[in-house]
Amino acid sequence: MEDGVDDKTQNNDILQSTSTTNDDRLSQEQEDRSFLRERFLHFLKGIQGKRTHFKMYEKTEVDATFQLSDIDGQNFLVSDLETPMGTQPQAMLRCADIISCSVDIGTGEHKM
Amino acid sequence: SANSENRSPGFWRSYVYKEVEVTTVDGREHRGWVHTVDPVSESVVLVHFEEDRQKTVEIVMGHAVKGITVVNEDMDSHREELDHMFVTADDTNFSK
Repeated sequence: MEDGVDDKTQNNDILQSTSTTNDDRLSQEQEDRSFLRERFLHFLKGIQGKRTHFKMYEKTEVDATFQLSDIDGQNFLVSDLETPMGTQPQAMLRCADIISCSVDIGTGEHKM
Repeated sequence: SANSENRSPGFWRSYVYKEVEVTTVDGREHRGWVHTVDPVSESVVLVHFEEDRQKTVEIVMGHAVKGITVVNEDMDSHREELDHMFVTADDTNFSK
């Protein structure tokens, strides 16, 4: 009988600790998400106005000045896009067409 | 593949500060130190540190990522630089 009582107490303990672990896990996940996203947004802001080299599908490579990204990262707004058919003063690049893009950020000394 | 399912933020955060090699669907390899991985698009931001301190930052779009491998686990070698890279004096007023 005593064993039965012990089991029940133990089960309650387990239930309690599981829910605390879940809360901890969720807040850790939220912390990780905001850490990553904040750094990404700072990065987007940091490359604003810089010449960017885009590697796209079908072996297409173009240069443009990075301006903005929409909030869900579907499109990049760029300016002075150099294409084989001439330079576009303003253009929207679909992120789905881009594989990677690179930017020279000089010595990396941050603006004050 | 790294792109087949939505990974947890913790999974992506474990790459930050490490040097990785990202392979993309076009067969190319992109090597650099991870500044961050956007948890929304799963795009990886890599920094290449050059000898003359000229730095290049590369963003590999999440949808194009085929795989990611850690090549250097030393999280302290570029931590400071990676942390301060895109943060301006203005920004510090808003954080925390």
